[in-house]
Amino acid sequence: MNTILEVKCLEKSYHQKKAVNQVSFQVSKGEIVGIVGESGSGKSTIARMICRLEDADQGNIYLNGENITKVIHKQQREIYKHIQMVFQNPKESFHPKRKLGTSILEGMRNQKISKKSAETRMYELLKACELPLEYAVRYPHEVSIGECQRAAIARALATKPSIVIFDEATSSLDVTIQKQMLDLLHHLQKQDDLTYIFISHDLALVQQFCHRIIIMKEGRIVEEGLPDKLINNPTTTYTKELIEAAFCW
Amino acid sequence: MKRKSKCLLFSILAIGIVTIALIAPYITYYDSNKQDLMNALQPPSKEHLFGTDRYGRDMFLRVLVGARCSVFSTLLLVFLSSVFGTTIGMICGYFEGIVDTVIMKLSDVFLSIPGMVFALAVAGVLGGGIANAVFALLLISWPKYARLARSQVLSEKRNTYVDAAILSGSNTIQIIFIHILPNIFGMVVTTALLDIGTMMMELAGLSFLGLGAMPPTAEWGLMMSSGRSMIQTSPWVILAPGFAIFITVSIFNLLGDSYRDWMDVRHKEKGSTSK
Ligand SMILES: Nc1ncnc2c1ncn2[C@@H]1O[C@H](COP(=O)(O)OP(=O)(O)OP(=O)(O)O)[C@@H](O)[C@H]1O
Ligand SMILES: [Mg+2]
Repeated sequence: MNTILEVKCLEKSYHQKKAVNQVSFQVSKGEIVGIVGESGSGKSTIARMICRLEDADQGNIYLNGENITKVIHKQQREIYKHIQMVFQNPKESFHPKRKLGTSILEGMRNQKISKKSAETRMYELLKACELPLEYAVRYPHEVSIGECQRAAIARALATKPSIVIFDEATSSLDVTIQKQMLDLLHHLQKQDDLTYIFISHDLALVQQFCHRIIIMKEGRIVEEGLPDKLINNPTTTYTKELIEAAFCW
Repeated sequence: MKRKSKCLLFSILAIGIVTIALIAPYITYYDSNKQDLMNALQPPSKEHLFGTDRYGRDMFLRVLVGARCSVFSTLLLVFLSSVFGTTIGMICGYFEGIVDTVIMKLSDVFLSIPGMVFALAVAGVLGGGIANAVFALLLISWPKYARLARSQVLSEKRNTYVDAAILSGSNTIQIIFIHILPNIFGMVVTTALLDIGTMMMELAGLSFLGLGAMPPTAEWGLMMSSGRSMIQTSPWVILAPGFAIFITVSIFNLLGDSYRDWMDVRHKEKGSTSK
């Protein structure tokens, strides 16, 4: 399988404390990789470093073989044609004074796609994300959290990225909406052969959704493997604890 | 809604003042600087609503015409200092780092000197003239906006919508001025509106001290200054421009207050995500 994203020995410290410590993994094209770990284990920090929202202290990130660890300015904007991210809190991820449509169009407009074709694509995306078209002219405070997250997914897909990172993207949604959202993501993934990095602290959910799971603790990867294998015979006590926590009910 | 109409009322009054300032020189049928010594120091009458000054110039006319110099130089001053200060503050807040430290230390220096004394010194060095007075006050008034904008940007830039904007491929200028600015704009406008009154007083103060507008320009501070020796014999000479300053300052302050109240309400109603 061809590797699309590779992370090598990534490290990041905040106030002398390592939030991410010697993290390495690879992601292949079309794969759905889950990253699971307790709160504060460094999942978001990894996602933010891959998206260049945070500088890595050490290590390298390769996108299609190209080192993007330190890209800035124009080259940095270039990587957002390939990588996009969906954030945990959808309402906060939209500008409060802008219509959802404006935010969805922005990435395409920044890539100099003509207004007309950008709008066409936006309506396609709204439809694909099962949102009524008139939501384009709504403000974030005028839609529900679930709808807002759909709009966020539409925004992330607008510029046709190959990798989408979901940082607890379904955590703020209630269970039925969560299920619908995952179905939608699955469908979109198959349709465009997308690669997902799916961050969550819910092992049960990740087990169903992902092709491969990475388990993190205190900034390190403690275990990695196929969902069923990992859950049926965990090799570390930490994973066992996570499994117990996830499946106790 | 009540707050909105209050804000609207004061905006109309403020616009009224600006309009007077704008058209006064064109609607008056004789020159406000024309002397008529035969009619010097006349008390208010039908013919001269606010009386005349010691050169026989109609005070009502001069107060109207003086609005132009007083109001416009104040508005220009507040506009320049808020735009300049906000821009500097936003850039500092967004990038932080060494440039930020240096500029903020510099603004600390400006803030630590008593404003009027500093303006006096600057205007003294540059010499009189309304432009120099505006410049002097500009130097002491921008740091307030820079501090405000900086602290706002520091908290605003941690919001996820900024990350999302970066991921949409927006460049730094777009992020600062298109994404963040609208969210701190209300705060800046409120500060600027409330600043108009203060600045008008300070500008009038400089003129009063002979460091602002130069005679024979009709400017309220200067008019008060040149009338001060006659306060006992012909009080209208000083009362007319003083009253004009009082009214104008009050209206702009009330406008600032009501605008702030209105913004507060709107903020709460929307349940805006920006903290
Ligand atoms: N901007 C920051 N400044 C200081 N410390 C930070 C910052 N961001 C993250 N950290 C610290 O880094 C560690 C990892 O944080 P991170 O957000 O990556 O965890 P997480 O796995 O995403 O947790 P959660 O499940 O709660 O989202 C935490 O200990 C956190 O306190
Ligand atoms: Mg997180």
